[in-house]
Amino acid sequence: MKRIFVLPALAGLALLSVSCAKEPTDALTAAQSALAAAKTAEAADYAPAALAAAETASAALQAEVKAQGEKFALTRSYTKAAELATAAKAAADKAAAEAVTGKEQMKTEATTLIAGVRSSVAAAKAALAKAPKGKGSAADIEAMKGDVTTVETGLADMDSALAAGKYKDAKVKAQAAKATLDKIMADVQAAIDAKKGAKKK
Amino acid sequence: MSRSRPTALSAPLLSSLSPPEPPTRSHRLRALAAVCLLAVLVVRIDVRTSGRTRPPTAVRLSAVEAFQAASGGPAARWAPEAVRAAGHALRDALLAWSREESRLLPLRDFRPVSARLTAAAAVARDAARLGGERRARAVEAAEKAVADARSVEVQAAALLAATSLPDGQREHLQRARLLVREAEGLLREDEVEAAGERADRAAADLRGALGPPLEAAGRYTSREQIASWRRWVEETRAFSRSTGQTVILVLKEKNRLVLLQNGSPVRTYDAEVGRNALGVKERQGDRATPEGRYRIVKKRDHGQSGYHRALLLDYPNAADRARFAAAQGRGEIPKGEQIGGLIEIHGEGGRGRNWTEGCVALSNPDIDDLFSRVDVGTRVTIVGGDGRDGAFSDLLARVGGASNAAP
Repeated sequence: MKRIFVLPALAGLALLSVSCAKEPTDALTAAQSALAAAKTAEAADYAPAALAAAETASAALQAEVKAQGEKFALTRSYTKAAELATAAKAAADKAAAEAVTGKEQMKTEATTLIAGVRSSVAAAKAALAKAPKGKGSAADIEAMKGDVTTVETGLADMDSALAAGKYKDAKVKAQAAKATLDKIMADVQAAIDAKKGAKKK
Repeated sequence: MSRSRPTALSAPLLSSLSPPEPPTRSHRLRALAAVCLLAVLVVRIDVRTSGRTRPPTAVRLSAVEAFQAASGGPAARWAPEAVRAAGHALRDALLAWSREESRLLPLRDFRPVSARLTAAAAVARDAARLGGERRARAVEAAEKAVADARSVEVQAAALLAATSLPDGQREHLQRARLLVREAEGLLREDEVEAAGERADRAAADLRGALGPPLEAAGRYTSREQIASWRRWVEETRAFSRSTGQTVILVLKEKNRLVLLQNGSPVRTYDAEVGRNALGVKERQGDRATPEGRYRIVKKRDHGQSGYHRALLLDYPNAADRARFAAAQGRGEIPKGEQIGGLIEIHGEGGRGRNWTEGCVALSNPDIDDLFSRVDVGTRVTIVGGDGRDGAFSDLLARVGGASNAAP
């Protein structure tokens, strides 16, 4: 009598094993794609810590899948692998999101700085146009106008760097240009102050 | 003798002499259970004492953290091969973990797994250390390159402060100075390799831009030129000594005007010369102060000069005219150009830089003082320098351009 139930029980067990023994292919693919997307988003530059966490999660997933693959088919279980795949995808998505945010911030910073350089160029030109032309200062003013032009021609390089996604390069070019223009403005102001001081005498 | 039946007293004796009964099924089952129980007990004791089935969670966490620190830090860029090796070691250790976890509990032994995780952590820490060391070396090299570029920039700034440059040279210099700022910015942004490359480019550009003006400044370290200047100075001093007359000496690269009486200095004034301080006057509009031996031909007092007070010199003298004619003859100066004139020692100076169109400028109090001590006819000797020190000879000494230097 008991033997009647043995075969169905065994068959049921076999079915159960097979269902748990299937690799969660979709989840694995999703996790791998997410990691690749994070690397494409330049997470190595903009979110290195998050990318490291994603790579670690991927390593744990790969280890688990491989370990299960090495087992006898009926004893395999990919439940944990499915959980790890979900976690790995989440970590990679986080790295990608942080990279996008970091890159966007850098882009905004560079864009703002370049706009600041354009404003400073205009302000410097206006200041030099109104700079006091005292004895011997005309040549100085002309020299400073030339310096402003030199900075202004650098704007094309800044725009190119920005367009190419080289945000740090665009940023440092803009900062260098701004520092030069600030010096010119300070010199013009000093000349104005000196002239005022001379008038008071 | 008759056979007797076994009695009660003989029954046990008889039974002890008979062969034992074979073990029953229940006996066998009980024995098996006892053996299994014993085996479980042994395994349990072993597991408890050795801890081999306990997953080394803390060791795993440490290995993972070590890898993340390496791959999320400088080592990812500076020691990528070491980080890859650390990644492989961690993956292998995690695989060993997964395999062990898959086994039946009594059969698990995480001790080798713990050892592999510890080794993986060590590989990761080595990668982090290697990355840190390489980055530190790269930072040191980049900082050195930036410092070198800055030192060349200082020379360029000194040159710009001392003399004006033709527009193209000035633009070249200013672009190179921007590169130095960019190199500094890249270093701040931890773009170490780019900072070093930018600094090297900046230094090369600066040296290139400094080339022509430094070549022009070469006469400040020329033996022949210095000997000539020293001879003029000595002759002027000797004249003052022998005649008791007041004379003026102007040393352009020192920005100094010295008043001598009886051959000895009695006054020294800060003096600013033409914007083209490197050059010697050749023609009108070149913004250079002439070098030679002159005299005061006119004193212009308040209201007679646009520069507070002025002492007009007799530039161009005969030597200047001869030189100008020779240069025109050689085609160095176009025929339509003029030699220039109206070279004065005047006021409105004190600006801290060379700015005139060729005159020598003193501050107003200084020109007032000088004005009272000299007369028409006072000798004025203007030289580039004395070969010892000054804006250009110092600069050339710094850049090593004194190839024909006077002692």
